Amino acid sequence: MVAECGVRATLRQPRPPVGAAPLPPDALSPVAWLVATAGASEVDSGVAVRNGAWLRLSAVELERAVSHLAWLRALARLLGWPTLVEEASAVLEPLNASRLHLPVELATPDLPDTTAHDMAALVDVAAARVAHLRELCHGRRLARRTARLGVVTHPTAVALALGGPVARASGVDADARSHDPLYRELGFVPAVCEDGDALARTLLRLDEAEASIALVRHALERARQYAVPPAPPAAPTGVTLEGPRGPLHAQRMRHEWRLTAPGQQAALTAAADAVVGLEWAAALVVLSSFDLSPWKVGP
Amino acid sequence: MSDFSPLAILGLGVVGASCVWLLEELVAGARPAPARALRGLGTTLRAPLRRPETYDNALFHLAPGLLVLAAMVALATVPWAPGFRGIDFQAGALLFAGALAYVTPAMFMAGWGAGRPLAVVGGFRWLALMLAYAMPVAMVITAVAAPAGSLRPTDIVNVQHAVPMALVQPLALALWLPAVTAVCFLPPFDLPQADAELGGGVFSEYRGLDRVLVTLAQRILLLAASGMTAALFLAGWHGPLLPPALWMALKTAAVAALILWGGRRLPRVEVDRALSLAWKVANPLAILAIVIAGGLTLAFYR
Repeated sequence: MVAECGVRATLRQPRPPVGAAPLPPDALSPVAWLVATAGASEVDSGVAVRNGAWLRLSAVELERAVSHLAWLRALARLLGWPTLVEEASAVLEPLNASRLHLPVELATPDLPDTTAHDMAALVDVAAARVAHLRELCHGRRLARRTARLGVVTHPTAVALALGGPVARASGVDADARSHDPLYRELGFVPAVCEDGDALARTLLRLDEAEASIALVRHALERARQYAVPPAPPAAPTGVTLEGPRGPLHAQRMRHEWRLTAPGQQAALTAAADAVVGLEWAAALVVLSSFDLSPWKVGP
Repeated sequence: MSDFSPLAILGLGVVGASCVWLLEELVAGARPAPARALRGLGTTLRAPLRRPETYDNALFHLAPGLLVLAAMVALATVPWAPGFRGIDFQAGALLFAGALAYVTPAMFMAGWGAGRPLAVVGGFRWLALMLAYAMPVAMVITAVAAPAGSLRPTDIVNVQHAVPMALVQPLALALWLPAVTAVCFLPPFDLPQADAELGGGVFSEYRGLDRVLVTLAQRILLLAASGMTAALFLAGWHGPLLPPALWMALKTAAVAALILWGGRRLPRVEVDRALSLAWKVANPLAILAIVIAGGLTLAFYR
């Protein structure tokens, strides 16, 4: 009951001021929104040059990997597990260093060879370290605290129109990257789990972080080879991009933007329902497993 | 015969707490920085005491003192060396368990006195946990005391001159270590304070001297629990070549390092699971350990 009251109170939505410009629904993914709006601008202007397409892909995937691993580190802190905190930090460190090499203007077509080399070296370090993290997360210690908690079944996920890792952990095979020719060229296959519990959401994010690290490595290789990116799909209604917490949609309509994150409201609803009746510690773990954006959670 | 020396015990507690801090840093893989730690201690001590807006102000400020007192009494019952025995009672081992029992009201006073919901939750968690883990502690003491035919810790150490009790009664040791970890409210049994879950729990409102006393008490408790483990299971000061006190210090440090290391390797145990393990597994096995100890005593120690 305590968990129910607390969560329902904290999940109330803030109302945007009347007439104010729309804010990105998830300010924790600035790069993903930047790339989505850049893509939408190109669609609106009809000049789909896709400058620096590989670089943008690298930036978005780096952001996804960092987001998922930082979330995992926060979960480890919640669980009081210093070893997992240290292992997650060890993977995050080279990834964050790699992000510092990214040019501010992501539409830059050229990436200096030395920069790409340095980034690739750092990403390789992260890829080597993630194996130990995987070993820790697939053990019984994590399962004891997260398995069978906060289950979101496949029918519920479909009915609520959930998106992102939460939906994929419940067996919904929906990922905006599947339709992107850039990702298809890199052999991307979306990760999906069936169990729908907090453990499934954790392991799925770890799988996605690992896949993102591999995608960054491939994309940087393409960038260094000056590989021509495939043509973007025709998108008359803006651009949909898979962000770390789910799909992000950006559409430019003359002088105004329409930025939406489909599935975020559904995630809030699912989280509020999933924690009802749980002990305090378990409720916090379940709430954490939904990786809700603090920009959407507040009084 | 008792060599009770309050000042010596107090000195041992303060020096031992510093050694425990050093051990914590080493186990965490950090480079110990005593100067920085002393600066941090000074900053904490300068912070004013918090006055909770409840009617239980007295309970709130008495709790850290009671916690330190309980820890010091527990420390005094540990037989450190043949010439330095603290409180050498005939039933000293039970006095150790009795001293630990006073941690329970101290923790509950801290949680209740804070007057915050999560602190009170931490206090109730501690009550449940201690009801479950106090019995294995007492029963394991009974099991290791049986071969010595005495509850005096010195006699229990002396009966291990040939074979340490850890080899004779491994089940008792396996039950003892998690139980004393829980009594010291150390990870993975840090349920009453659980930083991320309860925001500090029973200790969330402590500042200044209160905070320092709580930290001191926890380190002294770990020292006492590790020392008693060395005395009851690892033959205390017995060992070749080195002086007895050094053997005892080494064994105590090894046990403390093991407890701290285990706490870093494991996630916090859920309260339901911790209680279930205690009532369904630890307590029945502790009774079995007493039965085994009785058989061993009849066969080998008569």
